[in-house]
Order: sequence, then structure tokens, then C-alpha cells
Amino acid sequence: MKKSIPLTIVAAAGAVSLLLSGCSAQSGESSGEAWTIPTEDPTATISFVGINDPVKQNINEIIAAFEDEHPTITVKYEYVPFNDLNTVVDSRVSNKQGSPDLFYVDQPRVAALAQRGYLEDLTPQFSTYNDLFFPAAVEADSYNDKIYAVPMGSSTTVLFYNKELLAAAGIPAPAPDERLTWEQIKEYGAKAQAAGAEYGLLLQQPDRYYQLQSMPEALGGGSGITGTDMLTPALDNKGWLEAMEFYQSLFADGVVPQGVNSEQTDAAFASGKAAFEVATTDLVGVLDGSSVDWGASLQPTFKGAEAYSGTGGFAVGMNPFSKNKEAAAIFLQWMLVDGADGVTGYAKYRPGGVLPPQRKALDFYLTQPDFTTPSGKEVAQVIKEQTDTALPRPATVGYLEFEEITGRMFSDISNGTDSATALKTAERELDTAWAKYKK
Amino acid sequence: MTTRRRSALRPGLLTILGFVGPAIVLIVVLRLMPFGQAISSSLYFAPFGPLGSVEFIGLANYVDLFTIPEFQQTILRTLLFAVVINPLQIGLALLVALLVRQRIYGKAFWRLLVFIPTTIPLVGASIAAGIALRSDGPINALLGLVGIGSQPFLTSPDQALWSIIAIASWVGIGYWMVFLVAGLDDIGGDVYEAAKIDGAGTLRQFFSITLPLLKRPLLFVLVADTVVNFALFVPMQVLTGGGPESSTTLLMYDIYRQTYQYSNPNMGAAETVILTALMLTIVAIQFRLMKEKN
Repeated sequence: MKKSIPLTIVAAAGAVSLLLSGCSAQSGESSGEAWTIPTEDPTATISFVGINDPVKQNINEIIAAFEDEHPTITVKYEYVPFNDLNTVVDSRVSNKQGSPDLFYVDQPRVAALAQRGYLEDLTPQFSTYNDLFFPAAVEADSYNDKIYAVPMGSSTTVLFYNKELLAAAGIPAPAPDERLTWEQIKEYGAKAQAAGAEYGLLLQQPDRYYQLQSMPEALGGGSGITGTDMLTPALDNKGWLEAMEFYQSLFADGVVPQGVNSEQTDAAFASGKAAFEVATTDLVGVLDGSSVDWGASLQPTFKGAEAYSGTGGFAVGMNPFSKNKEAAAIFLQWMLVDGADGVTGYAKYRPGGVLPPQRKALDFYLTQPDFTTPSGKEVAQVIKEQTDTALPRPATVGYLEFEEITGRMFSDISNGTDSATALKTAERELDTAWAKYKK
Repeated sequence: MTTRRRSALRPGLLTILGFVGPAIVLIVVLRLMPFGQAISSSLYFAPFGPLGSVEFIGLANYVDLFTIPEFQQTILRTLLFAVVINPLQIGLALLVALLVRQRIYGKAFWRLLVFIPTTIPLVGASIAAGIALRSDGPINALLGLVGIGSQPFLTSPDQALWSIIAIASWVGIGYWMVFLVAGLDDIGGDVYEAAKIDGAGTLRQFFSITLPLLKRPLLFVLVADTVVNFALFVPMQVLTGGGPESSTTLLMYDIYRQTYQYSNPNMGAAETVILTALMLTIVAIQFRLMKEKN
């Protein structure tokens, strides 16, 4: 008898607590109510999660300028590393508490996040501005004909080179409209190393799909995803295998260093350690103030192959559970849509770095000091030439798994795993991970 | 007076609840409830994440998991990890505990030296270890000096898990040592004196006196260490991301990947239930093996 009392209490307490937790999970549904962007500012504090450094990448300046013009709205920016963005957004949006109000969204993830209910449908508030943007940017942020995020940045991948290191090795500097082949870069990189360069080549994001997609595509291997529902992996083919074997040889031959990760590559190039870096135009901002004498030319491709360059970028999405949708929309409008002559708050206060996806803002952007130096002008020329070769990442609801699994595959291959095995393993893992969407 | 004394000796239900209640509430809220939720969540299917439509599917998540070869390998790898790391850490902790109790010069200093890694947060310790193990890091420089040559450590599928075991043990041994030192201090010197008079040597003393009398703290350390190592996550997250070639993907890391990277918390919950079941089974075996004979 004595023993049974505490047990009953424990059981009862357990039952009550389970009941309570069941109830709490029901509260905090997304309102789903129609709302508009008000003409008068509400008083609110909005939270904003992003992957740009608030100091080095001017986010604090953007926010300060906004708060000056809109004194009743406070923006709290939270900086998270690129690799943690998805887990942070996943855990915080899914707890339905409404924070953060706004967050960065990598464009190929829009479909997956929209279908999962992590993004507010912004069609009623923002579709009137569609014409201000490049059509590809609006398309990338739409899913089922609805707008789920406001385009913030576009990008293109450029071959940067260190003039001094090339000259020391007797390598001719490529012209801005010249396209070196991967084979040449590998050879030149090794040559520059023999002449004293620490690294032959840096890949800005050495194990990410964004950076590497153009390699298999150039060799006819496709994007890696196929099928009408874009949920069938297609990595186990000749184009991918050739591309991955070449990619592996860059590391095996020591032209690309092992263990210098995405967060370290730009700084390594800016400190004069590498002969070449294939990078987004973000690198221009990093090189501002560096003593390296650099130049730029078109994104490389394989000998005799089609040329492709990376594109796409980040957008800003809204938490459907946000309690400050109006204030958040005012900030979005100020930062990414409004502005005299189409020059948005973002374009004005973050002059270097990410390419703007708005037509007029791009013209303004290319007149900024970073792009009017002799080297900067070369990048501006590359940016204009590469609109024809821009290759978007595939849109699929399974992009979350695709990026994670291919990321691990690239990393394994760069560390020496047999390419054919790695491609087959990744394909099998994708089949397993995507099976849930096909039930 | 007498009634008061009696009630003080035989506490009523309220008094018992007053003392035990807070602990029970905490156990229920922080342990049983989340586990109950994990069990319930593992029976559902939500292809589009926790905010999408939800369907009751019974044990299908478990059936799926056990038919995936990668998951079977993850289970085997997790068990291998447990079988290696727990005896290794406890054996070394005991050895160090015995050493630092010897009459050696600067005893406190040596104890401190072993304990210091424990005070560094695991994230910091992992980052430091990651730098130390890089191809151009100090450990490879030392290996180069003695002619062994550079080792890939965390980038090789054959060495990564062992490197993680080494890192986790570097941090763990000092912590478990503290409990064992306390246990050793509790064994009275007279027992050893008596043994000495009877002519028992050092080894005989260790196996016939130290080990049997250390059983209680050892059991605690064994169980707690097992649980901690099953839940080990930080070094994989910081250093290897579960790679290379999934060689450091243990159950705990896979739970994180399923839940947050693939937005599939139901599958993650099923794996959580499997991990807990595995852990409880092993702990039960440990209790049975270490059971006091009397």
C-alpha cells in the first residue's frame, strides 16, 4: 500500500503533464489573417536572423539608417554562421513563438521551406513590386505561383587572380573577357606554387553545391536531380564522375589546400597566399583595403565544354507566426524595394559584396568605388558578360536533404574517397531521404 | 511532546511529498514527459516537417529505419564506440586515480593537470583538438619529428572515430578520475595494512581489496560514463559532421541530422526511442554484472 501511493502520484502527474503539453502544442497557430503594409509606422521590435557579419558586412549600418527613418521600429539582428542557418530557422520557426520575424533564405530552399509552412505568403503585399526585380530572382523566390521571400542578393562566380604571383611564375594574366579552362588553372596553379605561392587555387566554398554545380553540368552530367517531381537523384553518371575525379585531383595534387574552409578562403586570397580563387563577387569587398594586386576573368570551364557560372543568392522571408508582420514588412520594403531611382536601403548601405537583384540598383551598384578601380572594372565587366551563362540551382522540395548529402559527398571526395563510390552512396542516401515525399 | 516526537520519527505523506515531490516533478517534466512525447511523435509521419500535415503510421518509422543499411551501420558503429570508449575511459581514469594518490612530488599539481581539460567546454576542447590534429597541426609536426609521418586523423574514414574517442577521453578522464579518487580515499588504510601483514603484494592488494571496495563508485562511473558517451554529439558536430564516409555518424548525431537538417522530427524521435532503449539495456546489464553478491 505504502509503495503504491507514490507510483499513483507519478502516473497522475505524468498524465497531467502530457495533457498540458498536448494543449500547448495547439496554441500559437499562424494567424493566416489578411494584412497590409500600413502607411503609418507601428511601434515594434522585430528580430532578424542572417548570415552576414553585422560589422564587416555593414548590416549594422543598414539597420541604423532604417531606424533613423523609422524611429518607432527597432530591428534586432542576430548573426548565425551559414552552416547553422537552417537548423536555427527550423527549430525557431517550428516552435511557433513568432521569433525571428524575418530571416535569410537561400533561394533554392524556398520551395522546401514554403511547402513546410516556414514562410509567410507575401504575394498580397509584395507582388506589385515584381517589375523592379530581375525575373529570375522573383521566380526563384516563388513556389506554386506565390511569392514567399523578397530577393535580396544575386551572385555570380568569378575567377580572381593574384597578378604578382602569376607574374612571378611567368603566367600571362587572363583578360576580363577571357575564359581559362580548369585544366589550365590546375597547371598554372601548380606552376605558381613552384614559384612560391602557398596555394595554387582556392575554391571559395570548397565543398558546397553552389560552387561545384557548374563542373558536372559542363561535362553533361546534369544538375544531379531529375524527374517530373525533381525527386530522383542523378549523380551516378559519366559527367559527374569525370567532374568529381578532376575535383579530387585538385586536392590530391595539392593545388587546392585541404582544410581551408569556406570561412577562411577569402581571407587567404586577400592576404596574398593564393594564385587563383574562384569566388562570388563578395570577394571584392574583402579585397577592399588588401595590398594584393588582383584581376578578374570569366568563371572557368573544362576544355571544349559549355560554360556555366553560379548564380542565385539570399532572399529574406517572413515567419508565418510573426507577431510583427506589418513592422517587418515596412523594414523589408525599405531595405529591398523602395528608394530613390530604385536604390534600396540595402544597395545604398552595403555597397560592396552581393549583387543586387533589382534592375536599377545593379546599375548604381556598379558605379560604386569598389567597381571603379582598375581591378573593380574588370569584375564589373565579368558580371555583365556572365548574365548569359548563369545557371540556377534546381528547385525541389527535397533541396534540404540534397544540399546536406551532396555537401558531405564533396567533402569525402576532397578527402580521398573514391569518386564512383561516393556518388553511388550519395544517390542511395538521397533515395532514402526522399522516399518520404513519394509516399 | 510524545506525539510530536513520534511524528518526527514517522513522517507523514505530506512530509515525504515535501522532500521527494520537487525531485519527482522534475523527473516527470524533464525526463519522462519528453520521452513520452518522443514515443508518441515516433508513431507519426509528417513528410513536410512539424508544421505540415501529420498522419498516424504506427511503427512504420521503426520498420523503415531497420531496413536502411546506413542506419544498421550507425547502430553497429554506436555499439562499437560504446564498447571501446567506456572501458578505455574508466580504465585510464582508474589508472590515473591510482597514480595521483601515490606519494609523488607535486601531487596536487598532477591532479590539476589531469582535471584541467574537463573544465574547458566541449566545444572549445573540440575546436582546439581539431586544430591540433590538422595536417599542418602540432601533433603531425611531432609525428614528423619522430619519423612516423603525417596522419590524416579526422579526414580519414579509418581514423576519424578513433580520433573522436581520443578527444572525448582527453576531456573525460579527468572528470571520472575525481569520483574514483574519492572512492579510493574512502578505503581505510587499515585494510591495506592487514593485507600487507598477511604478505599480499601490490597486485594482490589491487584485485582483492581496491577493486572490490571500489565497486560502488565504479558502478556509478560506469553507468554515468556510458550514458554520457551515448549522448556524445559536440565533437562530431564541430569536427567531422558525421563524416568522412559516415564513419563518425553515431546515433545521437543522426538524430540531430534527421530532426533539424532534414526537418523530419518524427524519424528523429524514433531514433531517440531506439537510442534510449539501447542505453537502458546496456545500463541494466552493467547493474547486473556489478551486483553486490550479498
